[in-house]
Amino acid sequence: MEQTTQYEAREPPPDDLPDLMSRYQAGDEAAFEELYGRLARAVRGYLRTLAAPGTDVEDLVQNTFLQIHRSRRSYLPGEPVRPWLYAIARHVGLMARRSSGRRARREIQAEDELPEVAVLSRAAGALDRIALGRALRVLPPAGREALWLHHVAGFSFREIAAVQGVSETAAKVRAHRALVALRGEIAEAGK
Amino acid sequence: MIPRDHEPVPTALRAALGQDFAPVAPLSPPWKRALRLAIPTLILVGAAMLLLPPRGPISASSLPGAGFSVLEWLVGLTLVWLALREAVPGLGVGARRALAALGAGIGLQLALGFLLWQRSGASLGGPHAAAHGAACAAMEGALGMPSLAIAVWLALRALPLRPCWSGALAGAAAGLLADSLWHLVCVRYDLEHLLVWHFSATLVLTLLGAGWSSRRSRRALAA
Repeated sequence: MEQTTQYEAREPPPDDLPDLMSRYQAGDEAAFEELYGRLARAVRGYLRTLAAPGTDVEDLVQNTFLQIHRSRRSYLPGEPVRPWLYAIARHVGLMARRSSGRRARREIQAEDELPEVAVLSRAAGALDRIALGRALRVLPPAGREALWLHHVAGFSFREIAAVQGVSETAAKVRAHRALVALRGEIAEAGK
Repeated sequence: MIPRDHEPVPTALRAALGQDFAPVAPLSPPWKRALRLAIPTLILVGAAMLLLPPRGPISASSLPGAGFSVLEWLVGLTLVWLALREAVPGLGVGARRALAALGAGIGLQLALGFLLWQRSGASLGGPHAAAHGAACAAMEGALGMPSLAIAVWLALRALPLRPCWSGALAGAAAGLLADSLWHLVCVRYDLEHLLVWHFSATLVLTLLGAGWSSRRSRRALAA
């Protein structure tokens, strides 16, 4: 039961996004601007969990929204927007990571870019945010991504499964393992 | 009005988008788009059942003939639906499920081939079995090409992020749809013919679908 509670999404997803997408598909430029305004920050944070060190994340954000614009017809009216949008962002992020050809240790995230995970805020007193960033960076990419999507972006596991192309159970397992690993890293760093 | 805490669209992105805010027609749900393949293939299979004269040990209108065809057609159509779902970001079935669906589709074709052979009581292929088999596989492959082209085209109209899986599902679907018709036409029921030659057409279509979809998708994304 305890685990179920810790997996609850932090914030409910905005439910007017499908209407916004429909307006955007109908040619409303203001709808795109609003969509960008509301989601760009979160998409940027998500892309940071995927990007290789030295990658210009801002460039990835713009590529993501460019790709979204080009393929806006592939959004099915009435379906949740975020899994669609994040799946595209994931693709852009993974393509960039592959093309960079670097698998080296990731750069430490800047202070204001760190995810605000509940477990992170508790640990913030013991560790500085840079050390926390390091701890996040050593997590397996798929687990880090699932952890970020759930605890920062507030995705349900069903939505994470849709973005990552895995089953809901696999998404839960990934996030849980990442959380356990993160705790271990934090405990190790605190010694 | 955009609230103050919302980020404005960067100038570079705005310039890249230009004035291209023309309305677009959203795609229909995958099941509706799959119906575009359902109708012509159903007409072909139905016509074959009704019009083909009785031949060999299994007639086109008998249970192993018509029943197996309908089953193959239904599974083929399900694979088309899955291929089209896989092509929509956020609705994808994922690699494991796609692999399971491919396995189920291919397994069904092999199982039905085995059952047909059992029902027919046919013996070994005899002379020229390989030549007949190759001709049969070529015909079945050719019959599946239009279905494959339509399924891949429908998938590419969305945004397949795992085009290899989407294309493979479309290819296997085309193979099953073609086999559902072709096994009503083909008069050979020996096990080698059904399992090797009929199945090889589906296998080739599956590989072709995966390659074709990947290549076209890479080009589209790079553009």
